[in-house]
Parts: sequence; structure tokens; C-alpha cells
Amino acid sequence: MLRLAKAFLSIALRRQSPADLPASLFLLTLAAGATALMEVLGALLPPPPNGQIALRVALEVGMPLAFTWVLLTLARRRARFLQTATALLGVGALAA
Amino acid sequence: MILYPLDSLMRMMGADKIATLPIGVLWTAVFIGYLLACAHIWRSALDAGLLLGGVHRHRLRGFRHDDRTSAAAERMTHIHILGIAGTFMGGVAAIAKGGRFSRHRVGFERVSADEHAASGPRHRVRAGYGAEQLDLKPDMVVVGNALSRGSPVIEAMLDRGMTYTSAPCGSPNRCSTRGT
Repeated sequence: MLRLAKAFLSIALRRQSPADLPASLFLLTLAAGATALMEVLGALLPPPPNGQIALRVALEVGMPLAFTWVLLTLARRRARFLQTATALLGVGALAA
Repeated sequence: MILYPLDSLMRMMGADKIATLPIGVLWTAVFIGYLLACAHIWRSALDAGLLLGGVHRHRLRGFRHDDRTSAAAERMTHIHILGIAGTFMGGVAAIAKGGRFSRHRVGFERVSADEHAASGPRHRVRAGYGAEQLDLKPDMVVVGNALSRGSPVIEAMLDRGMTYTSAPCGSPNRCSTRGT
């Protein structure tokens, strides 16, 4: 886990690129889970949320995935989806 | 030069809220860093020469994976060489067989009948152009000049995001290898 966090940190610091991440659905799921967890924790902090945590989590995870998929498809680089989405979600979770 | 804006800021925020300033500055810095990281990710993903520095370096770096470090190259134990029937690729295979990789597993694919180029107890020769060649899951594929886009094995290699290079490059560090 620490190694994964270091990889995301290296990407955030522009020492590495998403190409350095393995193209793994499991890793993408893990990054999405971390993002969702950070969103839930953020929603529990004061001020209290307006009761739509599930929607916020879905948007926080789903929007980057959808946007990434569409953009990479348009750019004919859909094979990079797993790594790019993993990097985006992982760096996002790290920043959160 | 520095104190004047700070003083103005303190007057604007009020003395009671000034303690929140470092936290605000920190959050702003993190947010800016996040935006820069996203720009970096998208630039890498789209091979786009956008702003923010490091453009040339990153434009030369393909996705999965031309930019492995020497240490990573050292860890590679299974090289699969495609198209060893010709003189040049056969020579490459012979070098690999006699070099440090001979201690490990070296896979060869022949594209014609001359199997002599890669015979030996630790070296496997697999015939054909099919994607099943890659089921051996090599650490790196060396693509011979006999193969090009459209060959099933090449397309499968690209789809699977495998590390590959060409023989003239010699190492994934030296030539750009594009994943898509």
C-alpha cells in the first residue's frame, strides 16, 4: 500500500507518468475505493453534509472515469484507460 | 513589499480569522498541486505537448513502456524475440543466448523453417505469428523487422500493453516504444 502511495506521489510530483502504473483493473478498483473513502470521510467532517453522500461519492468516482473514458476514446487511446484513470483517482485520493 | 500585502490581508480578514490563513494557504497549494498533477497525467495520456514544463522529456516517453529504468531492465529475465529467421535478428538472438540472458529464460519465435538460429536446452522456439506466442508472458518483446502492425502477435502485444522494443534500440531505455 505504501508503495502504491509512493507511486501516486511520484506521479503528482511529475517524477513518473501513469505509464509507470500497471494496467490493472484491481488497482483501478482500489484507487476508486480510496477516492470514495476519502469522499465519505470528507462528507462526515463539519459542516454536516446535506444527506447526499452516496451521490457525492458516485459523482466523485464516476465523473473522472466517464470523462477519462470518453476523452481517451476520442483520442483513440482507450488502451490507456486503466492506467490513466488509476492515476487520476489515486492522485485525487492522495490530495484529499 | 511583503508586509504591506500581509497587513492588508490581516485587515481584510480580521485578527480573529488570521489563524486560518496557513490552512487556507496549504489547501490552496495542495489544490494547485493537484491541478498540475492532473495536467501532467493528461499530457502523458494524450501525448500532448501542453504547458507546465518537461514537455520534451515526456513527449519522448510513450505509455507502457519505454521509460523503464536500467534497474528494471536488469530485472528482466525473459526476453521474447520475434522474427529470428533473418540474419540480423538471428544475430540478436545469438547474442542474447550467449549473453547474460542465457542464464535465464529466453524465448524465440521463428517466422520460417530455420530453427537453427535458436536451438538449445534453455531456449524455446515457437513457430507462427499468432497471439499465443505471448502466452509465455515475457518481460520484454523484441520485435523483428519482419513483423509490423497488423500481425496478430504485434496487435496482441500492443493490446496487452507489453514492454517491447526493436533490436536496433537494444534497450527499452533508448528508444521510444509506444503502447498504443
